[in-house]
Amino acid sequence: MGNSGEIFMTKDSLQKTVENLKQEIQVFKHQTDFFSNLIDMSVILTSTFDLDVLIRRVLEFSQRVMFSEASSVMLYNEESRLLECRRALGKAGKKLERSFTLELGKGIAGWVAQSQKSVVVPDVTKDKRFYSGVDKKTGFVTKSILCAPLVVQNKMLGVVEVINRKDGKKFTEEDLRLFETFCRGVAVSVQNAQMHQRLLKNQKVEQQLEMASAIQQGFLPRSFSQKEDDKYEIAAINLPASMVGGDLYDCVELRPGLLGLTIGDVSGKGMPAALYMARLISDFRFQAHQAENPGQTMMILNQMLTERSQRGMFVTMIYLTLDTHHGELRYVNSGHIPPILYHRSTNELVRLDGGRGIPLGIKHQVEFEEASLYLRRGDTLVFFSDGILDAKNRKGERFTVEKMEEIIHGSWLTPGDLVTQLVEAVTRHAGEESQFDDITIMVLTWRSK
Amino acid sequence: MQVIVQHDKNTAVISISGDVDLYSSPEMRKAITQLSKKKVPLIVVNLKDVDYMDSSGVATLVEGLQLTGKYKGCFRIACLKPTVWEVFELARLDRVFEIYETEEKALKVSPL
Repeated sequence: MGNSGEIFMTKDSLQKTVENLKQEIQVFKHQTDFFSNLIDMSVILTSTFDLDVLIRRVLEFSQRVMFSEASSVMLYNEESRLLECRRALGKAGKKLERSFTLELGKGIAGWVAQSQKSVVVPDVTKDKRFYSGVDKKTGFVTKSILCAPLVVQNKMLGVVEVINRKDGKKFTEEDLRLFETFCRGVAVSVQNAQMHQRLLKNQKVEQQLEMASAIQQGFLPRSFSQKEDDKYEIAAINLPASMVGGDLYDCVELRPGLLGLTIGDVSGKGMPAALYMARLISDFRFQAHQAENPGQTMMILNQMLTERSQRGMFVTMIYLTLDTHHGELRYVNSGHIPPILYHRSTNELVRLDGGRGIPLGIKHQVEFEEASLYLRRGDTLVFFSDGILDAKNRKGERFTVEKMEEIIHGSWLTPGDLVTQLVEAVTRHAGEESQFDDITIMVLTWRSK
Repeated sequence: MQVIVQHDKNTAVISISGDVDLYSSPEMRKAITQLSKKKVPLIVVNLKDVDYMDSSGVATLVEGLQLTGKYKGCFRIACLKPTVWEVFELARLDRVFEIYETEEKALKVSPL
């Protein structure tokens, strides 16, 4: 080295320096590729909530970065306990998609899913875990595999596989490290997409239930057309525990001067009970007009319900006819909670305990015994479903008949007032507790002498 | 809810413990339908460890009664606690089911 600062190198050392620089450039390029891939990966993993789009992008990325011929994502079905091929790219892909399934522990993918460990298989012919069935079925020749599980918080969602490098080389441990890192991110994205799918599905179900709820409420009379000179007044309410329910009430004019009134509670809850109720109310309206008295109507309804009985479903129901000229009440109670009769003139409360038989839809050939009475001026009948008595407060205490009786004894002017007061009392009692069962209340007041 | 089934060729006892409602009754239903498929002549459901039963649970028992009735089998209920008895009595289901105080009586009495 001279004083001027010039650098003198031998040919060998120059070559060595060039070699080192080339290596450094290579490492730098490798690192640049790696970070570039990481950026691409994060873009892919946050790009969509659509599971199919996500999986397609994951596979395309995997094939590009791993330089592979084929790839697949298998998702674990918890019900069937099988891995199901959701998407496969490569020559045999179409033959496997949405049709190929694999048991846990079988083949490389099955082993990875079961052990929740990633694996690189440089040469499948030397690995006993390899399952050759797919190659035989598709004609594809598997040589080398990279496979990683999709695991989030110890929950296995599936596996991702890439197969055969395009350059004929074998997959390496270094490939596996990058692939594993990528698959950890894929797992979170797959879980998010699956949750999103479930959310959308639930939203659809909820929308359908809202429609069903509106349709079901349309079956029930919203108001009872009454004239000024009517000798009676009726009010009712139905509050299903979920969107739809199995309680019902109805009021039909059988002929001038004769009303038919009913309240019922179908066993169970939700959609099955709602469908049962919908058919029952239509049968009731038809049969009430055909039969001569409540006992006969109930007998025919029972016959129909028993004949088409499903899963033991039944209905408790009260049916009564009211002679609107004279106040004669004829009724049958098929296993329903007896209504409360309030005599305003004497301030007395009695349980209307007559005409009791078994619920409808259980046994063939049942006779229904009728009971009757004449209403006096101011008499009020309160019909209700057991949902009102199932309403619990935070301490687990139920609303009671005695509490209902206090309200009936209290100050109210019309059946509508009484219904409102009863609902308010139950709501106050339950507080923040959710409604457990459908609640239906129907009140009839006789105003004539 | 827990369901324990003990049976031989002619009799079966299904012992239930816990609340029987919309969500738990399918398990009881599974036991009842399996036994009725085998046409076991006498099925007794022991409810001594059941404090609460809703109408879904009762419907499952009604189904048991209907299924066994198809092959002229006997379906009985034993050991109702007062809270469950109240449900049966209110709906007049005591007129529908053969109800016994003890499992032994339910197994001993000859079919009606």
